Amino acid sequence: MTNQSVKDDAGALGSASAAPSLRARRRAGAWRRTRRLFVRVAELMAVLFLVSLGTFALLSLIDTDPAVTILGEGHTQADYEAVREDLGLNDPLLERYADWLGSAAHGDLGASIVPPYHDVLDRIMAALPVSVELALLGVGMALLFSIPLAMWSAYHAGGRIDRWISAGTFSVLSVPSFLAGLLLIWLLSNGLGWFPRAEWSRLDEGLGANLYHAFLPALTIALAETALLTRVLRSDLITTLQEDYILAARAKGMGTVHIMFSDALRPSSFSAVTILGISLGRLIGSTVIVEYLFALPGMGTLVVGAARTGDYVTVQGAVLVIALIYVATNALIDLSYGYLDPRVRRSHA
Amino acid sequence: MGRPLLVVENLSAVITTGRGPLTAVDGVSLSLDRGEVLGIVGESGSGKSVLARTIMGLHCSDPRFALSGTVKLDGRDVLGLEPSQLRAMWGPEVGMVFQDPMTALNPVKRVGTHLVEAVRKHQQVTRRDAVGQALDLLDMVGIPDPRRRINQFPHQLSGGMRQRVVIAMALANRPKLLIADEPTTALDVTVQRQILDLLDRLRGELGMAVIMISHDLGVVAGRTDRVAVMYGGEIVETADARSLFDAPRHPYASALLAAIPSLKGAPHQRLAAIDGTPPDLVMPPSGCRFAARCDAVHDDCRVQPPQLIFDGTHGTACHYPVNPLISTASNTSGDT
Amino acid sequence: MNRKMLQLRSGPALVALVTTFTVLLTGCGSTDKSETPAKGKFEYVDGMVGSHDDAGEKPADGGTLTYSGLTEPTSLDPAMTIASASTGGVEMAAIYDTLMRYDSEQKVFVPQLAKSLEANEDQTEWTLTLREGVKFSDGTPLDAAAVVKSQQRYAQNRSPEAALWNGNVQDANPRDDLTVVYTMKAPFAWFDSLLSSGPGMIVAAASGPVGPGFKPVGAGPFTLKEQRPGEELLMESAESYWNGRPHLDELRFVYLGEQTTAQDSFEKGSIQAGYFRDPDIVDTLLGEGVRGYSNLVAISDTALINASEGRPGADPRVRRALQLAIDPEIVRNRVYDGHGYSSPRIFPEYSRWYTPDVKVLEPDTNEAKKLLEAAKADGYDGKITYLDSNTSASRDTGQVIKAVLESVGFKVEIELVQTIADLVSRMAVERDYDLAGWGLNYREADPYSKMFATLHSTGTQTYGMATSPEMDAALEKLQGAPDDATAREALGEIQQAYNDTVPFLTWMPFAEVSFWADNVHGIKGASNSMILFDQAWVG
Repeated sequence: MTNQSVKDDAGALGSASAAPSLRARRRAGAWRRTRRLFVRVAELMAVLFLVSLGTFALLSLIDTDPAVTILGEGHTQADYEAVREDLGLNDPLLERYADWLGSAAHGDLGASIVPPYHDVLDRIMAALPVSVELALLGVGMALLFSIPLAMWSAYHAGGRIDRWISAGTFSVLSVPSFLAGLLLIWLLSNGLGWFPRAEWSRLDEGLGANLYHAFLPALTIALAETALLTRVLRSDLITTLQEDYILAARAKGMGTVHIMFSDALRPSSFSAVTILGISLGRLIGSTVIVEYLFALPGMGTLVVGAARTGDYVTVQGAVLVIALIYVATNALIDLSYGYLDPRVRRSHA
Repeated sequence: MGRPLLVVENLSAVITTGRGPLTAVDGVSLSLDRGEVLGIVGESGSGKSVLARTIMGLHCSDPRFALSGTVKLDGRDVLGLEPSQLRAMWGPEVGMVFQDPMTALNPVKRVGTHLVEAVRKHQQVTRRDAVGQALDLLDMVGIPDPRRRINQFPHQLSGGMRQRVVIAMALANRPKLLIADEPTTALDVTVQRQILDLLDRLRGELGMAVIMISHDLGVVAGRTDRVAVMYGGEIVETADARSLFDAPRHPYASALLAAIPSLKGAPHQRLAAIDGTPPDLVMPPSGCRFAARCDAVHDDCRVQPPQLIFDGTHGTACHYPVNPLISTASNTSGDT
Repeated sequence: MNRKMLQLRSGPALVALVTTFTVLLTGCGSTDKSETPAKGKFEYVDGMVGSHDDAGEKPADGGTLTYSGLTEPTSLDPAMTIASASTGGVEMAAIYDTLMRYDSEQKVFVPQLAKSLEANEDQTEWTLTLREGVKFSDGTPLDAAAVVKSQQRYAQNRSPEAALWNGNVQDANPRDDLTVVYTMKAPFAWFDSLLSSGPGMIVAAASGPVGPGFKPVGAGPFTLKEQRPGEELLMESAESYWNGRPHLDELRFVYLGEQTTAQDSFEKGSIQAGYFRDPDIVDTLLGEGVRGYSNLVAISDTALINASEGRPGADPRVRRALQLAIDPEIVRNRVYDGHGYSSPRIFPEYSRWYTPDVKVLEPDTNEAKKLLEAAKADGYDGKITYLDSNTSASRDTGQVIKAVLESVGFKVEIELVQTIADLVSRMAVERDYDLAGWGLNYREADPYSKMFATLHSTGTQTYGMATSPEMDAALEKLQGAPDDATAREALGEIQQAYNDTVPFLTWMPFAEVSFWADNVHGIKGASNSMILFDQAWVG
């Protein structure tokens, strides 16, 4: 504290003499940043390695037999054994993992071991946009709903509106997502007929149609996320609203809405943003229930379908991609903290 | 001189707490002329901050506060204003400097933003002009290299710098009245002096009236025209600064002055602290609120609450003031 | 408790209460949209259902028809995938067509892609005559050589009905370009049925061998345009089809997961046709008079009894007790809410193969108890495990079976595996089960094929079930039955052999129905619940 004030006062005096050291400082800063980036990448690699190894090991424990999927029923033990041998399923685990890792490092995630033997990366690239879109839309909607709700709630903390919103979010949180989806379908799709039931319109077939089809599933996801975000944001907002700088802003004559969005929101968003990041990452992989309800061709459907048929190669590839996205999303969230709270920024000083 | 800028009459603020209604401000009256500096002195819990904020009108829409009395700023009763009128008033008519510069500035907002948004709220100017004004403000409050500072975040400034920004923020729209609530309490001693000098200078330049609130007599000495001493939610003594410091009449004011450590005193001399604690304002004692801690207490002090009685411009609320004065008690005082 | 506590003073509490109530309601109540019909309110028919008054309407050209299948076929190779409506048969039939098809009105097999099929007197020689000028979609001719090649490919790979083919067909000889003569090992009456399913789907040489790299090239009315797994399967009409380009431009197959989802979509018009099997949905749509093609499939819902040594089912008294303990009506009521059709008889009253003179094992809990006592007296502890996959119907069935069996003295443990593949592994491959929930699917069109595989001592799909020389003999009689009457006789003997051996448990046949919208016409029925779109059009 005191050191800084001395430095600042010194800075006021001798700005001219600081020029050469500024360049040196910048170079030092650049090196520090590069090193940090490198560390980050190394962390990412470590996570992916552990996740893929763990998944591989776990998958080997599941004994859904791809030979059964390939041959169907009615064949002899020997037949199935032969297929399993062909697929290399009797080779040692680490050897198979090393093989897979070798290819994966080159971007080759292999091909499905059951018909129609699709390339795993191709299938993931087809399914991923659906899940990503759903997750983003769902979370986006949730933000759209939860910010005003939380603000309203926090502003009237303890009042009637607050209690109603609290009860509402509590109820929504208690309803599991498949049930929420079913209720929404019953109401908006079958009931009022506003939305389609089990169709998907790809993005390249038109944005309007795509968003129309994505609305109901995204809303299903958004409900639970809204409830969670609202509660967390409300809590942080209430704390923030008691800060002196809010009072100071009022004393400047700033209006309530301005104070809410401009002053109160960002400092209160840490918990919410953290949860958002976790949710986004989690949703990419676990929209499976919503996908199943609405018959959508996303990652959840892909992974569950592959797991059901014993197609471990596809599951492995999909989990890797999901882990990658998860880590990337959380890294982005980490970076965003610097935007949200400048005190966190590791600036050159 | 014309009509006083600020006239507070019988202002009371009662806060609903878990334990019951707490009378933070009880029947306070004061007035302030344009350009005048009033110092309000009192210990923690005396109600001075609540008084300041109530005068400003910050508690008007708070359902926990029950306000009575009037606060006339330039003839308009602040307590009767609509929220939009209050918001229009905060900034151009009255501004507040807060105690803790660490928390009075929003950590996620740049210094410049704090100032620019204040300017643009009350003036129809372009962003560019507003930024220009912000730079001028930073200069005015004595911040060197304003072009660099304007884009920095509060945590990148020292405590003193930050308080200067808070002041700049309060002055952005040239208010007629500046309320400074313990403006130096959170700062180092050397910086305190700088800030107080700054406030002096600005007052002179802008011709503002100032209410300076502090628990520290040293802050108030020599920099105010008038002083009011608060205790237990009431004003117990008020006078022009000179008179009060030369000859305080209320035992509390007198004790406060006596408690200031002096360089002239003998070494290892004990601090003349005031025994006891402030009164419970939910259930205030009957009679004089200072009675429990007063050295010169008499029996009727505990029964009859004293009124603020003026001798010229010097008001005292005590049955047995410590300096010669017409007392309200029937017996004349025999003590010092 | 004072009044204040009873009053709902808080609005939010009310909200929470209402939500909870709604949740409970939707949980408890069924999502069933129809009233429960009494059994026999409408007739269960093997063939076309709903009003089919298309006469006089001129077919319109163009359009896309969307059909929802039960599960997505992993492979479109008939040498790998079973040719039935629930497993990708409709998709394959669109690409390859079938040589023969089942006519449910006449109850005979008639030529579809082929020109004719004749058997000699004792059904030891079948002559297939092809149409002239039939080409695969890649331009190569579908001639006798191509047919034989495709069927060899079928027989030599581990295809679903390869065992049946190899067990019956001695030789396939292309006599000339358009004629193939098949010599049977023994009189075989059901060869025409074989040519209406897997072996009757002719794959072009260009498709390649079985395995990765397989491309579906056939001579059917449609060609595969695009296969997007998990999403849809797109086909477009083939110019090269022998009967001219079909009316429809495109066929779209989707797989919607739950049948209720498909039902919703069908009612909304997002899909124009779909395959349904859930008894309550089928009953609803039948009750509404929706048009469709229905196949009644016997022993579609059953439990196999493992009669291998060491298993409870090794003791015939135990097997008999199991069947006697179960009242099919109870299953129908408790698992399917009173929908569908129950019967202790393999081919019930509605069937072409109904054998009224042969008695069946009617439910008799006292007899069941006695038999079980006798088995216990010899050391059996009464414990038995029921294995099934983890669907809601399976769970319900398991619970009902458990309750019913325990009421006669069994001790039942329910074991559920995650996927069908796991169930097949445990039951079919490892034979590690006591009782296993399954479907044997004996068809009206051709009861022999599946019965042989599942009940004959040399069958490939017995999976440990009990067999007997009487059953073998009856099956062999069925194999060569020259007419319906003989076939019925043989089936009577099979029922009798069943009564004596009880290899599996009988309680329900299912109706497998493809329903389609009112504006869809021209769909033809085929074997194994499949439908053909070569003459379909959308009005």
